[in-house]
Amino acid sequence: MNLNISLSEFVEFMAALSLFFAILQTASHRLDFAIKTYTFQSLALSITMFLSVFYYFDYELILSAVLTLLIKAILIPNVMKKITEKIVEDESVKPFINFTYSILICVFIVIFSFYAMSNTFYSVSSSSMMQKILAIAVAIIFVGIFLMFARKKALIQVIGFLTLENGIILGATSTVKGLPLIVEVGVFFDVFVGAIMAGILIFHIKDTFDSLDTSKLSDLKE
Amino acid sequence: MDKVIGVLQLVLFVAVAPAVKGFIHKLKLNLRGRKGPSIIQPYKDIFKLLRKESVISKDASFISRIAPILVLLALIVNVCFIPVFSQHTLLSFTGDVIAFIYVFGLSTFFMALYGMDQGSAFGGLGSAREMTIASLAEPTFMMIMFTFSLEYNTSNISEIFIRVHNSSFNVPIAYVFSLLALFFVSMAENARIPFDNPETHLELTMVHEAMILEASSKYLAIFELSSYIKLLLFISIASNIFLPFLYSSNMLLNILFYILKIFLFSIPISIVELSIAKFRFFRIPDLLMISFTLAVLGFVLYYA
Repeated sequence: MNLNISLSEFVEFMAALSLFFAILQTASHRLDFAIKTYTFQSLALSITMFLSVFYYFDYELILSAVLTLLIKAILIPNVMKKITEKIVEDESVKPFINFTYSILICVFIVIFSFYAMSNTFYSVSSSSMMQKILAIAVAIIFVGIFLMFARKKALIQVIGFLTLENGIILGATSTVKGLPLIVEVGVFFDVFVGAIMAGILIFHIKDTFDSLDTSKLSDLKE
Repeated sequence: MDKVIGVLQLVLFVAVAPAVKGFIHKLKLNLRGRKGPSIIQPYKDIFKLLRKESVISKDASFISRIAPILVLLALIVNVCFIPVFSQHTLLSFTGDVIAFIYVFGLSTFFMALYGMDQGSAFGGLGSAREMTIASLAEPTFMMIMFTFSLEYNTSNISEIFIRVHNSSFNVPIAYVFSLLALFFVSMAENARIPFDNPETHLELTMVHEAMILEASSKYLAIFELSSYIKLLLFISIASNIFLPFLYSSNMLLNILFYILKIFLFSIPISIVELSIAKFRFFRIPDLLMISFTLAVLGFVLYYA
């Protein structure tokens, strides 16, 4: 019996796990569950990045992996949790598209992105592992976008944006072996500040409209 | 000789099935801090039921008499497809993955017919719910089986398992997703906790129990036995694919390894049943769609 699990397969698996958690977010009925899923998704992403180090031998990736872990898996979920505890009285995620359809649409997104990426120039030049991870990254990006328009609550739209961002980072890791360090740090800072800004904005939405439901933003006020 | 081993596998399978159910139940109660009935309790239940007088509703048609037997027969045909501890199965020459899944469907169909036949309100309710769950679980199960059948270039169900064993642990890691999906499907098909609670007769939520509410004596015994066999079938599929058996010439060693394996694979079932509550019925489609997503991920990840 020889356990033949190569490193690249394991990296792929962690990336796919990240995709699965992204899809699980569209199935979550409650905000706290969505935040928890986002935590696991970022965790899987940081493990993927950390393992890519041994694939590429590019040690700058360690720093991005650690930053992902600190900011996306610990800091941002905690900020989000604080916001939910403070202002959200009704934790349900009001969907525009219901949960079952959302999951099915995500399945189609996955199939589509694998199909689309199978014909890119990467299939010729790069290894098949990176091609798969690129497809997964594109799928995560699409799922994030989908989450942003399929839900009414402002907070889960922010989570959708953060998911999209995770997809971009994964795509960058898989294709160009990570962005340059300075860009990467900038992106992390951007995302973190973005999350805090979104939090403040959510406070304001709550103040003005007494609800986080974004479909009520167009209601007239006296 | 092959036929003898095939029959022996079938006998062993049916003989072990109640013990697995007993083991899951016992482990669950032990983890809760209770003592629980012994592992051989399901055997005792079956023998007790066989001795009792059978009562059939006067509104019942012949369906009520033949349905239990057909349910059991369909499952036994499925047992003959899969290798238990040796590669010589009784029906190894025939039966592809689609047949395998639809023979399952046949047993579910007769179960649902039985529920409706006696004209009780609960039976129809249980049948409706069972068919809903079964129809949603089927595509996932099919997707998982297609993953394996494409991987090993055969649609013959016995041949898939044999090639898995010959490839000696060289399984792609994407199978983890398939295993998770298979876990969801087996919980759904066997009416276990996120989908249905097998322990209670709570009228608002029961699915499987509602269908066999009218059954008594030997008919109930057959239904109980077939539910044990169905559970063991799923456990055997999972364990034979993800933890292939040793192909030693020593038959006794193979049997022991098989029994160890199925008990190992039934541990997660009791742990999951312990840690989560039954889902609301309208959440079940979501759960099954998630398992479908897992199956598709496993499929796409390997073939893209």
